[in-house]
Amino acid sequence: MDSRDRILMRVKTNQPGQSVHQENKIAPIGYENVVEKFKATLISIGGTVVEINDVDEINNYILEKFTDVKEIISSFPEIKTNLLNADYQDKPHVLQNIELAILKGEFGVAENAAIWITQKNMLDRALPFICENLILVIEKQSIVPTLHEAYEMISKLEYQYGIFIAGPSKTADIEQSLVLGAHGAKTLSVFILHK
Amino acid sequence: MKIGLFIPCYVNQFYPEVAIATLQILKKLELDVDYPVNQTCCGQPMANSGFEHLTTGCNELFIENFHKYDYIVSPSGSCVLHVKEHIKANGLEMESESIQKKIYELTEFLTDIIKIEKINSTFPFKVGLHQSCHGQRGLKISQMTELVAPDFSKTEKLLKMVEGIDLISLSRKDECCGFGGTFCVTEEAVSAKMGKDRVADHVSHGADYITGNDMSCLMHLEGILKRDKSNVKIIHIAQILNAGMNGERI
Amino acid sequence: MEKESKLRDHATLAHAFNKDEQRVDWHDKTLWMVRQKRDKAAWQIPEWEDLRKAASSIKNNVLSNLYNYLIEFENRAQANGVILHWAETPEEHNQIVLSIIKKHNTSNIVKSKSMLTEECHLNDYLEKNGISVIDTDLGERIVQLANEPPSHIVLPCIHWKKEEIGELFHTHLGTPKGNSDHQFLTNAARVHLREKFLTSKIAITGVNFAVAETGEIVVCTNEGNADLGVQLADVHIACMGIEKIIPKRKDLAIFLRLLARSATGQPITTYSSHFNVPRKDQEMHIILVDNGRSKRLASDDFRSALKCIRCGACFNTCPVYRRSGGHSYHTAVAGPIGSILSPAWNIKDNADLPFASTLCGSCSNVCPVKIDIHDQLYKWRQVITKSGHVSKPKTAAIKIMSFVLSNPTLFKVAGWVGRKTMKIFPSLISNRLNPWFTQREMPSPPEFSFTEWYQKNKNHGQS
Repeated sequence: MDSRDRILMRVKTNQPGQSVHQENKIAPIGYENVVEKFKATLISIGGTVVEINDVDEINNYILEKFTDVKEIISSFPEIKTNLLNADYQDKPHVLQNIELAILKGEFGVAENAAIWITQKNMLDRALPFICENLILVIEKQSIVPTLHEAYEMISKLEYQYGIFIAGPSKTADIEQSLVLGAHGAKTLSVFILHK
Repeated sequence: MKIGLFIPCYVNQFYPEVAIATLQILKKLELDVDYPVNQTCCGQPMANSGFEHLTTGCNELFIENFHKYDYIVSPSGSCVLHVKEHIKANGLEMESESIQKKIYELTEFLTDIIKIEKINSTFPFKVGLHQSCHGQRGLKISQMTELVAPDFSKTEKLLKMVEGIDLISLSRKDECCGFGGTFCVTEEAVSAKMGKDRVADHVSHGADYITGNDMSCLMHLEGILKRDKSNVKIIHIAQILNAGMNGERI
Repeated sequence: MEKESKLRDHATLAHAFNKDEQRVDWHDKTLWMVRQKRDKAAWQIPEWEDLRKAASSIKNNVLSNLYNYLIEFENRAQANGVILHWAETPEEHNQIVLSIIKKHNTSNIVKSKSMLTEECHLNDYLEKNGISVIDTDLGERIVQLANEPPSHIVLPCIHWKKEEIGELFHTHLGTPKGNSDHQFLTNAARVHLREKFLTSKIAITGVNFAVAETGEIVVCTNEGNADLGVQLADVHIACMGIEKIIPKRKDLAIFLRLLARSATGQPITTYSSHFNVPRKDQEMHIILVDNGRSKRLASDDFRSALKCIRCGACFNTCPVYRRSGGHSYHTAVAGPIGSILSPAWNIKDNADLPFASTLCGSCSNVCPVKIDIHDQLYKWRQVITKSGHVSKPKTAAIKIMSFVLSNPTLFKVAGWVGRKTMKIFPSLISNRLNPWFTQREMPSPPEFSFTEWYQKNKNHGQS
């Protein structure tokens, strides 16, 4: 009998009587305007938000706000960049110099401004964390009120690696003073795409 | 209804005026109140120290003294909670269960059973209300700030019926005072610090008096106030409710 | 041995902590602020109490069916290509980690926050075997450089002032002396740790939630250190207690809505990463640790402590923790939850912890999974006493108290004697030997007890 067997045997013997998995009907909060709620929450957690009609508009934004940034990589063909995605795919260490990554978020959650993104939209799993600045683009109608609606969708998905990203990386470990930009991306800008 | 008056052991010995005020309030309401003279203690000090198994004597004495009343009323949230949650004695299960259902802290008895609407009392002072933990979180005498739930306070409801009273607000409405039974001596440093912080909250908001449902908390705060040579005094809610037309009290 | 235990108990350590009153005020106010942030966040969710009920109910279901959920999780995770290990004890856990490290023949290892690894004292064990692990969570890195354990499960260096961190970074990272700007220091840490991320071969993480239905694990961070570490490493080792299981992926909605709001007042942590299938070029291990959890499962009184999701809300609300600091609890997990977990790990060393509380009940009411913490503290006191881990003087005193209080006549006499003594010989009681008297005056002894008054005035009950 190895550790696994002994642990499982003890668990089986000691666990109490059956308790049914209740469906736990939660009536989650709704918002009059999920987009406005999403935007307000994102700003409160240190993100920037811009509403656009076309992905191409991001190029102007980059010229304006990320003027000196050269190492740009994106899953969107519309984004003007000198770097070839193929040179960076599945090469996490090579991504360390990426200054700006523009990726597609799959949907947003209004209550916490979290954006769901899975591996297939990341180019490499390391990219959202290793880049210095991150831009995520989500469609306006993809924004749901709370995580309940979000997980209704996620529970039906197949993914190898998925993540909720809510704002830029941060820490308040030094005397509870908030600093944006810990180990992950220093900034997060979200573009809400009106279709 | 016949009421058995249960007076906490230390109130009996050190703060008889609180017991007298409690008795007088109930008598003013023309209630039939009896005080079993052989009562001692609910057993909480021993039980909270880990010696629940030594409380049999106390439990049996308590059951013997009180089981025959329709209601048991006490000016102490923590003692009432202890009896409700822990009273038991072999062979006296029925009596124990019956006691648990009919024991009340004074303010909840007045609001829930007597359903009092008016109090003839005057107390024209600034008063800080200390929410004792066991009464609040255990007996649900008032809403705790931890919960996302509607606010209410049976204690405040009664106090607001008193003429002239000015209830001050606090920075931390329901933080523990630090008495905690034997904790007050076994963890003296933290206990005293917690008490000092509670006192400072009341004093900084201009309290003339600090009141509450539990004399144990107030005794602890009084100890700190007196050491500080403060003019702020403690007073049990029974004494405020019983304060005469000119604000005099025992 | 006696002296050692005297030095280590909560009351003694808390007494030392309270010598610097200003610092206690600072520590207390900082943590109270976090409690207030939690309140603010919770009040934005009208269904907050329903969420707590649901989370509690799901966790109760997990504990009742843990066997099946563990098997299900194991099957799914293995099908995903994850290598699973089972460890009965902390030692076994540590040995498994060491063996994986040795197999890959590396000493470049990063670790993100994991209370389970603290519980197992992993870092110390690896050090003894010549391996240094870099803690990458900023707070954890700070305490690591200072060679101390964390004092809080979510805010590891809450007891450190920024000037002190500045000094520490100056010594260890070469930052300019006297610089205590949090922005500057955080950036210095970013640069320092980035180099570690880029060169490490193994990343160790904790597990916030392990989903039985899918075999995936979820790791929540604000800094991004867990993910950065994992994505750049050849090997990912995830360490978890067996109770971290939740049944379905959908259940994450409830737990992720509660976790960060309870912990820090944020709606959610910056990153909530769902590791399902490992990177194609990466080896992923999950170590499932028992360390007494399967035994606790049998206890009706103490089982529900296993519902804990390690949010730390109970720490922030506890008036005793805020005024004694995490190190006063001398155990891996401090605060209220630590005081009901630790006695099971070592009753002798941790017998003092359930008494480091006034049983105010605040903890139980902020707990997102509704653990009856304060009731368990009371129950542990009974267990500790019955098993003889309370001092002889205390036992004697309580026995006397119990004897007196069970006897109406003795009670009356003792009360009378006490009052008279306090009146006539106050210094007999009001002196330095009386701990009450250190910072408080004794109550004034009245002329009579209530019983005496009542017997005299039985017929004159009116004022």
